[in-house]
Amino acid sequence: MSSLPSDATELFRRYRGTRDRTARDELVATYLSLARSLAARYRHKGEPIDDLEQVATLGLIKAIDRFDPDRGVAFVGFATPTILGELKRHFRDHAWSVRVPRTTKEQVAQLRRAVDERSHALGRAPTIEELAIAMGVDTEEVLEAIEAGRAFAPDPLEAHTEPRDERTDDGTSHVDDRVDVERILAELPDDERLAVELRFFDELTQTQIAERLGVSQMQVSRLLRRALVRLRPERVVRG
Amino acid sequence: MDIVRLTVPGSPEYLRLARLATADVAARAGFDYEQVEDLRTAVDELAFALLRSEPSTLTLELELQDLELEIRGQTAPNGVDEAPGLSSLAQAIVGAVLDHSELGARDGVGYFVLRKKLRMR
Repeated sequence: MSSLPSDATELFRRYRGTRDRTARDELVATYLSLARSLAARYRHKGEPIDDLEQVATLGLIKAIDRFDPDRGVAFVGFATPTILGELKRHFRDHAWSVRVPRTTKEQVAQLRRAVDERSHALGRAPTIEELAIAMGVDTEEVLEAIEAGRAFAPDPLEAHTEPRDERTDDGTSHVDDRVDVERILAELPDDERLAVELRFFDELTQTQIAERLGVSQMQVSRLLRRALVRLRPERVVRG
Repeated sequence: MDIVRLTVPGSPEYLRLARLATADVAARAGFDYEQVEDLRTAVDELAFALLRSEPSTLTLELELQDLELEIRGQTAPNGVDEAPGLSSLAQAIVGAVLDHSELGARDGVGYFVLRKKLRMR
Protein backbone atom coordinates (compact mmCIF):
# COMPACT_ATOMS: atom_id res chain seq x y z
CA MET A 1 0.00 0.00 0.00
CA SER A 2 2.82 2.37 -0.74
CA SER A 3 0.91 4.25 -3.40
CA LEU A 4 -2.64 5.36 -3.67
CA PRO A 5 -4.87 3.14 -5.84
CA SER A 6 -6.74 5.25 -8.35
CA ASP A 7 -10.12 4.09 -7.05
CA ALA A 8 -9.02 5.11 -3.55
CA THR A 9 -8.09 8.54 -4.91
CA GLU A 10 -11.58 8.89 -6.27
CA LEU A 11 -13.03 7.79 -2.93
CA PHE A 12 -10.87 10.31 -1.09
CA ARG A 13 -12.00 13.06 -3.44
CA ARG A 14 -15.60 12.06 -3.01
CA TYR A 15 -15.27 11.98 0.75
CA ARG A 16 -13.42 15.29 0.87
CA GLY A 17 -16.06 16.91 -1.31
CA THR A 18 -19.18 15.47 0.27
CA ARG A 19 -18.16 13.99 3.65
CA ASP A 20 -20.25 11.02 2.61
CA ARG A 21 -20.08 8.39 5.37
CA THR A 22 -20.32 5.56 2.85
CA ALA A 23 -17.16 6.77 1.15
CA ARG A 24 -15.41 7.04 4.49
CA ASP A 25 -16.50 3.53 5.46
CA GLU A 26 -15.11 2.19 2.19
CA LEU A 27 -11.83 3.95 2.82
CA VAL A 28 -11.68 2.55 6.34
CA ALA A 29 -12.24 -0.94 4.95
CA THR A 30 -9.55 -0.39 2.33
CA TYR A 31 -6.92 0.66 4.86
CA LEU A 32 -8.03 -1.38 7.87
CA SER A 33 -5.13 -3.76 7.43
CA LEU A 34 -2.73 -0.84 7.93
CA ALA A 35 -4.41 0.07 11.23
CA ARG A 36 -4.36 -3.55 12.35
CA SER A 37 -0.71 -4.08 11.50
CA LEU A 38 0.26 -0.94 13.43
CA ALA A 39 -1.88 -2.05 16.38
CA ALA A 40 -0.16 -5.43 16.30
CA ARG A 41 3.18 -3.73 17.03
CA TYR A 42 1.88 -3.08 20.55
CA ARG A 43 0.29 -6.46 21.16
CA HIS A 44 2.80 -7.47 23.83
CA LYS A 45 2.31 -4.35 25.91
CA GLY A 46 -0.47 -5.84 28.00
CA GLU A 47 -3.46 -4.30 26.28
CA PRO A 48 -6.14 -6.46 24.58
CA ILE A 49 -5.56 -6.52 20.82
CA ASP A 50 -9.17 -5.63 20.07
CA ASP A 51 -8.80 -2.44 22.13
CA LEU A 52 -5.64 -1.57 20.24
CA GLU A 53 -7.29 -2.19 16.90
CA GLN A 54 -10.16 0.09 17.84
CA VAL A 55 -7.72 2.84 18.82
CA ALA A 56 -5.76 2.36 15.60
CA THR A 57 -9.00 2.50 13.60
CA LEU A 58 -9.86 5.76 15.29
CA GLY A 59 -6.45 7.08 14.18
CA LEU A 60 -7.17 5.82 10.68
CA ILE A 61 -10.47 7.68 10.59
CA LYS A 62 -8.76 10.88 11.74
CA ALA A 63 -6.18 10.46 8.98
CA ILE A 64 -8.90 9.87 6.38
CA ASP A 65 -10.69 12.99 7.58
CA ARG A 66 -7.57 15.13 7.14
CA PHE A 67 -6.09 13.62 3.98
CA ASP A 68 -5.98 15.64 0.79
CA PRO A 69 -5.50 13.25 -2.18
CA ASP A 70 -4.40 16.07 -4.46
CA ARG A 71 -1.29 17.00 -2.51
CA GLY A 72 0.74 14.17 -4.03
CA VAL A 73 1.44 12.46 -0.71
CA ALA A 74 0.95 8.70 -0.25
CA PHE A 75 -1.89 8.00 2.17
CA VAL A 76 -0.01 5.29 4.04
CA GLY A 77 2.87 7.66 4.75
CA PHE A 78 0.40 10.31 5.83
CA ALA A 79 -1.73 8.02 8.00
CA THR A 80 0.96 6.03 9.77
CA PRO A 81 2.15 8.80 12.13
CA THR A 82 -1.45 9.68 12.95
CA ILE A 83 -2.33 6.08 13.81
CA LEU A 84 0.87 5.57 15.81
CA GLY A 85 0.22 8.84 17.61
CA GLU A 86 -3.23 7.62 18.55
CA LEU A 87 -1.82 4.34 19.86
CA LYS A 88 0.88 6.10 21.87
CA ARG A 89 -1.67 8.48 23.32
CA HIS A 90 -3.80 5.50 24.29
CA PHE A 91 -0.90 3.95 26.18
CA ARG A 92 -0.02 7.24 27.79
CA ASP A 93 -3.57 7.92 28.92
CA HIS A 94 -5.48 4.68 29.19
CA ALA A 95 -3.26 1.68 29.55
CA TRP A 96 -1.61 0.42 32.66
CA SER A 97 1.24 2.70 33.45
CA VAL A 98 4.23 2.32 35.72
CA ARG A 99 2.24 3.76 38.59
CA VAL A 100 0.09 0.62 38.72
CA PRO A 101 2.03 -2.22 40.37
CA ARG A 102 1.66 -5.69 38.93
CA THR A 103 -0.06 -7.01 42.06
CA THR A 104 -2.70 -4.31 41.70
CA LYS A 105 -3.14 -5.17 38.06
CA GLU A 106 -3.68 -8.80 38.99
CA GLN A 107 -6.15 -7.77 41.65
CA VAL A 108 -8.15 -5.75 39.14
CA ALA A 109 -8.27 -8.75 36.82
CA GLN A 110 -9.33 -10.89 39.79
CA LEU A 111 -12.02 -8.33 40.66
CA ARG A 112 -13.43 -8.43 37.14
CA ARG A 113 -13.61 -12.21 37.21
CA ALA A 114 -15.25 -12.12 40.64
CA VAL A 115 -17.85 -9.56 39.51
CA ASP A 116 -18.73 -11.72 36.53
CA GLU A 117 -18.86 -14.94 38.47
CA ARG A 118 -20.81 -13.56 41.44
CA SER A 119 -23.24 -11.58 39.25
CA HIS A 120 -23.99 -14.76 37.34
CA ALA A 121 -24.33 -16.90 40.46
CA LEU A 122 -26.45 -14.41 42.42
CA GLY A 123 -28.50 -13.06 39.53
CA ARG A 124 -27.79 -9.53 40.74
CA ALA A 125 -24.84 -7.23 41.34
CA PRO A 126 -22.70 -8.50 44.22
CA THR A 127 -21.94 -6.39 47.28
CA ILE A 128 -18.40 -5.32 48.02
CA GLU A 129 -18.31 -7.79 50.91
CA GLU A 130 -19.41 -10.65 48.66
CA LEU A 131 -16.65 -9.72 46.24
CA ALA A 132 -14.12 -9.61 49.06
CA ILE A 133 -15.10 -13.13 50.14
CA ALA A 134 -14.95 -14.40 46.56
CA MET A 135 -11.52 -12.86 46.07
CA GLY A 136 -10.20 -13.90 49.47
CA VAL A 137 -9.24 -10.33 50.37
CA ASP A 138 -10.67 -7.65 52.66
CA THR A 139 -13.15 -5.04 51.49
CA GLU A 140 -10.50 -2.33 51.50
CA GLU A 141 -8.56 -4.22 48.85
CA VAL A 142 -11.71 -4.56 46.74
CA LEU A 143 -12.24 -0.80 46.93
CA GLU A 144 -8.64 -0.19 45.97
CA ALA A 145 -8.98 -2.59 43.04
CA ILE A 146 -12.09 -0.70 41.87
CA GLU A 147 -10.17 2.56 42.07
CA ALA A 148 -7.12 1.05 40.38
CA GLY A 149 -9.36 -0.23 37.59
CA ARG A 150 -9.84 3.40 36.78
CA ALA A 151 -6.46 3.31 35.04
CA PHE A 152 -8.65 2.36 32.09
CA ALA A 153 -11.54 4.54 33.05
CA PRO A 154 -12.53 7.81 31.48
CA ASP A 155 -12.28 11.30 32.86
CA PRO A 156 -15.37 13.26 33.71
CA LEU A 157 -17.17 14.44 30.64
CA GLU A 158 -17.01 17.92 32.02
CA ALA A 159 -13.35 18.13 31.15
CA HIS A 160 -13.99 17.84 27.47
CA THR A 161 -17.39 19.06 26.55
CA GLU A 162 -18.56 22.61 26.51
CA PRO A 163 -21.28 23.09 29.06
CA ARG A 164 -24.61 23.91 27.51
CA ASP A 165 -26.87 24.58 30.37
CA GLU A 166 -29.68 26.79 31.38
CA ARG A 167 -29.80 28.53 34.72
CA THR A 168 -32.75 28.33 36.98
CA ASP A 169 -33.79 31.03 39.38
CA ASP A 170 -32.29 29.33 42.41
CA GLY A 171 -28.83 29.20 40.89
CA THR A 172 -28.91 25.51 40.04
CA SER A 173 -28.38 24.39 36.49
CA HIS A 174 -30.12 21.93 34.28
CA VAL A 175 -29.49 20.76 30.80
CA ASP A 176 -31.96 19.43 28.32
CA ASP A 177 -30.26 18.95 25.03
CA ARG A 178 -30.98 15.49 23.78
CA VAL A 179 -30.11 16.53 20.24
CA ASP A 180 -26.56 17.32 21.32
CA VAL A 181 -26.28 13.96 23.07
CA GLU A 182 -27.54 12.13 20.02
CA ARG A 183 -24.98 13.89 17.85
CA ILE A 184 -22.22 12.80 20.23
CA LEU A 185 -23.51 9.23 20.48
CA ALA A 186 -23.70 8.93 16.70
CA GLU A 187 -19.91 8.82 16.70
CA LEU A 188 -19.88 5.52 18.60
CA PRO A 189 -19.82 1.99 17.19
CA ASP A 190 -23.23 0.32 17.38
CA ASP A 191 -22.50 -1.95 20.37
CA GLU A 192 -21.09 0.90 22.47
CA ARG A 193 -23.89 3.28 21.54
CA LEU A 194 -26.46 0.67 22.46
CA ALA A 195 -24.79 0.06 25.82
CA VAL A 196 -24.68 3.80 26.57
CA GLU A 197 -28.30 4.29 25.57
CA LEU A 198 -29.52 1.35 27.62
CA ARG A 199 -27.50 2.41 30.64
CA PHE A 200 -27.93 6.16 30.72
CA PHE A 201 -31.20 6.76 28.88
CA ASP A 202 -33.23 3.59 29.46
CA GLU A 203 -31.53 3.43 32.88
CA LEU A 204 -31.02 -0.32 32.89
CA THR A 205 -28.38 -1.72 35.23
CA GLN A 206 -25.24 -3.26 33.80
CA THR A 207 -26.59 -6.67 34.76
CA GLN A 208 -29.86 -6.06 32.91
CA ILE A 209 -27.98 -4.85 29.84
CA ALA A 210 -25.78 -7.93 29.99
CA GLU A 211 -28.86 -10.14 30.00
CA ARG A 212 -30.42 -8.26 27.13
CA LEU A 213 -27.29 -8.34 25.00
CA GLY A 214 -26.29 -11.86 26.01
CA VAL A 215 -22.86 -10.83 27.25
CA SER A 216 -21.22 -10.68 30.68
CA GLN A 217 -21.67 -7.75 33.04
CA MET A 218 -17.97 -6.96 32.79
CA GLN A 219 -18.27 -6.89 29.00
CA VAL A 220 -20.98 -4.26 29.41
CA SER A 221 -18.74 -2.34 31.79
CA ARG A 222 -15.98 -2.57 29.21
CA LEU A 223 -18.24 -1.31 26.41
CA LEU A 224 -19.33 1.64 28.54
CA ARG A 225 -15.76 2.54 29.49
CA ARG A 226 -14.64 2.33 25.89
CA ALA A 227 -17.54 4.47 24.76
CA LEU A 228 -16.83 7.16 27.32
CA VAL A 229 -13.14 7.14 26.52
CA ARG A 230 -13.97 7.48 22.84
CA LEU A 231 -16.22 10.44 23.54
CA ARG A 232 -13.34 12.24 25.20
CA PRO A 233 -10.74 12.94 22.56
CA GLU A 234 -8.71 15.21 24.78
CA ARG A 235 -7.77 14.34 28.28
CA VAL A 236 -6.63 16.28 31.28
CA VAL A 237 -4.30 15.34 34.09
CA ARG A 238 -6.35 13.83 36.84
CA GLY A 239 -6.04 11.86 40.02
CA MET B 1 -26.04 8.54 61.97
CA ASP B 2 -22.33 8.95 61.22
CA ILE B 3 -21.26 11.74 58.95
CA VAL B 4 -17.94 11.46 57.15
CA ARG B 5 -16.26 14.74 56.21
CA LEU B 6 -13.40 14.99 53.78
CA THR B 7 -11.64 18.20 52.78
CA VAL B 8 -9.12 18.07 49.94
CA PRO B 9 -7.22 20.74 48.01
CA GLY B 10 -9.27 22.04 45.09
CA SER B 11 -7.34 20.18 42.46
CA PRO B 12 -8.42 17.23 40.28
CA GLU B 13 -5.66 14.91 41.45
CA TYR B 14 -7.36 14.73 44.86
CA LEU B 15 -10.60 13.41 43.40
CA ARG B 16 -9.20 9.92 43.92
CA LEU B 17 -9.71 10.47 47.65
CA ALA B 18 -13.25 11.63 47.03
CA ARG B 19 -13.98 8.49 45.01
CA LEU B 20 -12.35 6.22 47.59
CA ALA B 21 -14.25 7.82 50.48
CA THR B 22 -17.48 7.53 48.52
CA ALA B 23 -16.85 3.88 47.70
CA ASP B 24 -15.95 3.08 51.29
CA VAL B 25 -19.01 4.74 52.82
CA ALA B 26 -21.27 3.23 50.16
CA ALA B 27 -19.82 -0.25 50.68
CA ARG B 28 -20.26 0.03 54.46
CA ALA B 29 -23.88 1.02 53.88
CA GLY B 30 -24.43 -2.14 51.81
CA PHE B 31 -24.62 -0.67 48.32
CA ASP B 32 -23.79 -3.28 45.70
CA TYR B 33 -20.92 -3.13 43.24
CA GLU B 34 -22.88 -1.42 40.49
CA GLN B 35 -24.30 1.20 42.84
CA VAL B 36 -20.85 1.88 44.26
CA GLU B 37 -19.61 2.42 40.70
CA ASP B 38 -22.58 4.73 40.04
CA LEU B 39 -21.82 6.80 43.11
CA ARG B 40 -18.13 7.07 42.30
CA THR B 41 -18.96 8.21 38.75
CA ALA B 42 -21.47 10.79 39.99
CA VAL B 43 -19.18 12.21 42.66
CA ASP B 44 -16.39 12.41 40.12
CA GLU B 45 -18.52 14.34 37.61
CA LEU B 46 -20.12 16.70 40.12
CA ALA B 47 -16.96 17.36 42.13
CA PHE B 48 -14.99 17.95 38.96
CA ALA B 49 -17.60 20.48 37.86
CA LEU B 50 -17.08 22.38 41.12
CA LEU B 51 -13.33 22.43 40.58
CA ARG B 52 -13.73 24.46 37.40
CA SER B 53 -13.87 27.59 39.55
CA GLU B 54 -10.46 26.64 41.04
CA PRO B 55 -11.44 26.81 44.71
CA SER B 56 -8.74 26.41 47.34
CA THR B 57 -10.50 23.38 48.84
CA LEU B 58 -13.40 21.03 48.26
CA THR B 59 -15.26 19.51 51.18
CA LEU B 60 -17.48 16.45 50.97
CA GLU B 61 -19.94 15.27 53.58
CA LEU B 62 -21.24 11.75 53.26
CA GLU B 63 -24.24 10.73 55.29
CA LEU B 64 -26.47 7.69 55.27
CA GLN B 65 -30.09 8.54 56.13
CA ASP B 66 -32.88 5.97 56.07
CA LEU B 67 -31.34 3.67 53.47
CA GLU B 68 -30.34 6.62 51.34
CA LEU B 69 -26.84 8.00 50.94
CA GLU B 70 -26.58 11.76 50.69
CA ILE B 71 -23.33 13.36 49.60
CA ARG B 72 -22.85 17.09 49.83
CA GLY B 73 -19.95 18.80 48.11
CA GLN B 74 -18.93 22.39 48.74
CA THR B 75 -16.06 24.57 47.61
CA ALA B 76 -14.22 27.01 49.83
CA PRO B 77 -15.69 30.50 49.31
CA ASN B 78 -14.14 31.94 46.18
CA GLY B 79 -16.71 34.43 45.02
CA VAL B 80 -18.21 32.12 42.42
CA ASP B 81 -21.72 33.33 41.66
CA GLU B 82 -22.59 31.21 38.65
CA ALA B 83 -23.77 27.63 38.88
CA PRO B 84 -21.23 25.28 37.34
CA GLY B 85 -22.57 23.60 34.22
CA LEU B 86 -22.59 19.95 33.23
CA SER B 87 -22.42 18.88 29.61
CA SER B 88 -25.60 17.33 28.30
CA LEU B 89 -24.10 13.86 28.33
CA ALA B 90 -22.64 14.26 31.83
CA GLN B 91 -26.05 15.49 32.94
CA ALA B 92 -27.70 12.42 31.41
CA ILE B 93 -25.26 10.13 33.16
CA VAL B 94 -25.61 11.79 36.54
CA GLY B 95 -29.39 11.76 36.12
CA ALA B 96 -29.36 8.07 35.31
CA VAL B 97 -27.24 6.90 38.20
CA LEU B 98 -28.70 9.03 41.01
CA ASP B 99 -32.10 9.52 42.59
CA HIS B 100 -31.48 13.22 43.09
CA SER B 101 -28.80 15.75 42.24
CA GLU B 102 -28.33 19.49 42.50
CA LEU B 103 -25.41 21.53 41.30
CA GLY B 104 -25.25 25.24 41.98
CA ALA B 105 -23.66 28.26 43.58
CA ARG B 106 -24.78 30.30 46.55
CA ASP B 107 -23.10 33.12 48.45
CA GLY B 108 -19.85 32.71 46.57
CA VAL B 109 -19.70 28.96 47.20
CA GLY B 110 -20.15 26.20 44.63
CA TYR B 111 -22.05 23.16 45.86
CA PHE B 112 -23.67 19.89 44.90
CA VAL B 113 -26.05 17.56 46.68
CA LEU B 114 -26.67 14.02 45.52
CA ARG B 115 -28.82 11.24 46.88
CA LYS B 116 -29.02 7.58 46.04
CA LYS B 117 -31.27 5.00 47.63
CA LEU B 118 -29.96 1.63 48.71
CA ARG B 119 -31.28 -1.07 46.38
CA MET B 120 -32.90 -3.80 48.41
CA ARG B 121 -31.85 -7.34 47.52
